[in-house]
Amino acid sequence: MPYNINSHHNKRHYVDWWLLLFIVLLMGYGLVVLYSAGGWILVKKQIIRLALGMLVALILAQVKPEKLAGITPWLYLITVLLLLAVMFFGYESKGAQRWLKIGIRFQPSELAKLTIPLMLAWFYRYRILPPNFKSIMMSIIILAIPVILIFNQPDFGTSILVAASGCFVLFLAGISWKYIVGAFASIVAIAPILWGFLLKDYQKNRILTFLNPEQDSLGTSWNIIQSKIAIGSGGVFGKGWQSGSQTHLDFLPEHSTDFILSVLAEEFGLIGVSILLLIYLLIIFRCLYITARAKDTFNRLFAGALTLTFFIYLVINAGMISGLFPIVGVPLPLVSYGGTSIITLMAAFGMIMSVYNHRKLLKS
Amino acid sequence: MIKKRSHSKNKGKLVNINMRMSIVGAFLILCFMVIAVRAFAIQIKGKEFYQKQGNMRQIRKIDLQVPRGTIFDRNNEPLAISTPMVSVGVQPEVLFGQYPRISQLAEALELDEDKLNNLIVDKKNKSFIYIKRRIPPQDAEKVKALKIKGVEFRNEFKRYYPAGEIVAQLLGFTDSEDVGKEGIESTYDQWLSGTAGQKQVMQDRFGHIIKDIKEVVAAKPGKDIKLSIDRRLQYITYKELKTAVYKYQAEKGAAVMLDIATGEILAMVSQPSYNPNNITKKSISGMRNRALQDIYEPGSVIKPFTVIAGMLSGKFDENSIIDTSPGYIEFDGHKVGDFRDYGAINLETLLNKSSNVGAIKVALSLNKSHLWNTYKMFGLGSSTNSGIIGESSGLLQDYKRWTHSRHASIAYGMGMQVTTLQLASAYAAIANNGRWRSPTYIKGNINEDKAIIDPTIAKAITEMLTTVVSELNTGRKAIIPGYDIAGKTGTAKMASKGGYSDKYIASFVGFAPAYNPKIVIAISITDPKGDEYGGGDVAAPVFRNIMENSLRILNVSPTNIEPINQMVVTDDY
Repeated sequence: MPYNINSHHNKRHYVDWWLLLFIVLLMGYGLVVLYSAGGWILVKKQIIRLALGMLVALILAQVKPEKLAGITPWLYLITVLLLLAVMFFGYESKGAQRWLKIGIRFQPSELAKLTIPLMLAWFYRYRILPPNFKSIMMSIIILAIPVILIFNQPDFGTSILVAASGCFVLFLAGISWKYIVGAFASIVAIAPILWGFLLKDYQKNRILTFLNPEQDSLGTSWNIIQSKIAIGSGGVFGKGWQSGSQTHLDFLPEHSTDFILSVLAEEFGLIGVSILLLIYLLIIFRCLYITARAKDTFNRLFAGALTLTFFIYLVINAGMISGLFPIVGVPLPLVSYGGTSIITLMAAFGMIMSVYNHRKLLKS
Repeated sequence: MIKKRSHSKNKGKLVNINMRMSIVGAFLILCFMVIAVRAFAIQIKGKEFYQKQGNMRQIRKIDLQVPRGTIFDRNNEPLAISTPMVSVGVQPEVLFGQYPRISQLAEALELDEDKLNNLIVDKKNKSFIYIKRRIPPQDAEKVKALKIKGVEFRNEFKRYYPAGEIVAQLLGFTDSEDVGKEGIESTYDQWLSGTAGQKQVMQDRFGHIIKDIKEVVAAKPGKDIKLSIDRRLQYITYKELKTAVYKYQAEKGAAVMLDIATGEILAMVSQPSYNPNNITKKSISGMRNRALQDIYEPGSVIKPFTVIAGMLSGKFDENSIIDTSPGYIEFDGHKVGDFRDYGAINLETLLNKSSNVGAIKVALSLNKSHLWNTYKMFGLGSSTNSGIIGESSGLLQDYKRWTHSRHASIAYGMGMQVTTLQLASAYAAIANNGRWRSPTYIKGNINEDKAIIDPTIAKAITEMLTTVVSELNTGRKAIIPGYDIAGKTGTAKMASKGGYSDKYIASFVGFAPAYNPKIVIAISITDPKGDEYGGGDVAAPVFRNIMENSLRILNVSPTNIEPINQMVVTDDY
């Protein structure tokens, strides 16, 4: 007997309890670390944001993917318009123009992290896969417009994340390996031009520092050195909660935001780091499981891309604080103190939950 | 139809997408492994290295400054005290290039902004440099309130001298590192300075000390010293000497007051002086302790010792008569005269008229060695071993090398060089029944005395010296009504290149009360200008003023109270 698809719609609310559990675990762990790094005031504000994010996720989990697909081109258009608005009317802070003030301070590039993978998934939803050259070109244009706008703000970190989310859609859509190899080759070719004309001085500095951390021990790499001291001095068991001297003596920069993983590593040691990685692993594999069971191409592509974007956050942040990557300002997802990225990430989880709620139902 | 076709196409490609998902899964696992390996490398293999690096930045040893001991006078009045101050330093590597902060700091500390910036640039590889030492704690609070990163505050002590210029040369001063320079501060530096402690502290990124970890070296505060100086007597001596030096526009002056019974130095004053609380380049000329560093030919104040040598030889006694006619004497082409022809005089007159001819005749009748030995016994031309760094020994040439004219001139104090302190302790020996002892600066640290002459001779000399200070004689300006004063004037021509100049050193040395002496005072004033330049005119009044006030402070009652018959009571009808 075929499974009755409509039977699911009889339930009032759809929640993926496993994913929710893992996310709540991560949030709780994050708050414990944040308390040590920034105190009760930051924790209170963070709880409000997490709650708001949770609300967004639970609401989006109820939205049918078809409805989402219906408004996707409009969302994309709005995103591009907002990015243009930032370029002309944006609010400048720390040498970058990333913010729009519409009542609250708002960063349109965050929206792009959601709408770009959605748009590409929408683009490929009825197309023949693997994509042909023409559709690849089309999708590169769709991707390049917002990425260039974000890169020009300049926001190196977010443009990488957005570009990556688009590339994940292409990869999951089954883009041929020869295109992948070709793309890498052209990046290598374009890099010198990028260096000469497009990168701002502070971005060049970050990359140079990354290549040679001893070069300028008081500037950017000072942060990396302090971070590595924090991580390394944690050892296996850590120095104990609220006992991280690098953190509490102010040596560690940005310890409640970008470098919160260093705080965790210093206070909870390798064991604490392993527990964190385990929680992330659970979240990501639950999301991939959902992706695998998505009912159609649109669902599968955007759920997979969002999952990978979430993962890339983790990889870049972990690499950044441990000196593997340059410091590009990517937060540790759902743990770092900060508003917009929590809402974006939770919205993504909401959509992924929706994919599961409207999954392809197999015969039992 | 289209939809269906695309659907079937999708279905055909599902395998492809699942393969992609597997690749993604494998990639994820790989990335997690990379992160885990990275964490392992830093946290397990690098643990020691990074902990050491962390400690290097977080843990620091700081010196615990200890206060220098207080220098008290004999009555526990403080003469040198250490007050807590704050020194401000910076970590150049933190402050380097922070221009608005540097100018803020310069303004708050009243430093030149460019100089401060240059200093920071020059020392940018140093971890710490001082930029302003020893400012009052309340001023430091203002700088602390600016909360500038890389600025550090260290507690130190500043030496303060409540008596200022009055005891300046004797006490000396301390340098920027609180090390004693000159005087008592230098002589007793080890005793006074104690041991700075050291402790390990935890500091934050900005160099603020967060907590103490442990004390590495225990801090031992410096020990106090109680000097023999009496601040009241020192003040009187200073005031009178300074007044005279100013009045006579003299080049310099020195005064020493000793307690006869103990050899304790009650006052030691030097002019010009300086303010040790505010040392400038101009201070240097005032830093010399004239009373024990400057040596000079003393002149007639030596005559009592020539007379003592005569009496010791047995050739002279109180009744011996010396013919000083015609009022001058010639030897080796020199002609030395008296004020007038005194004729045949005894030893008492020799002293109270200060007859050069008489002194020379006494000296020339004695063996050189005997004369030399007598001076030597009284410590003339040798260090008194008072125990302070920088004391001069003076000069008393070996008698074997004396020429005939030296044999003669030394009788009236020319051809030997002494310090004012030596004169004071030589006279103290006469006053102390012929027993000489090394003077001391430390209260109660009394040196042993030794008998050098018979008490009867000492008493005889004392009697003669009291006649000096009488109405018709050279020391008349030292008379203090009610007290017997024993003393001697001295007026010595100052040596200059190839002979003697027309500059004089006026001196007076004496003690009181003559027959139960408490204190001896020696005064010397170099190059007084004007018509009055002799010891009797320039130095004797200084002696009198100091002695009179000191005897009153020391509660020494007058010995010969004369009936108040001069007082006329007039009734106002």
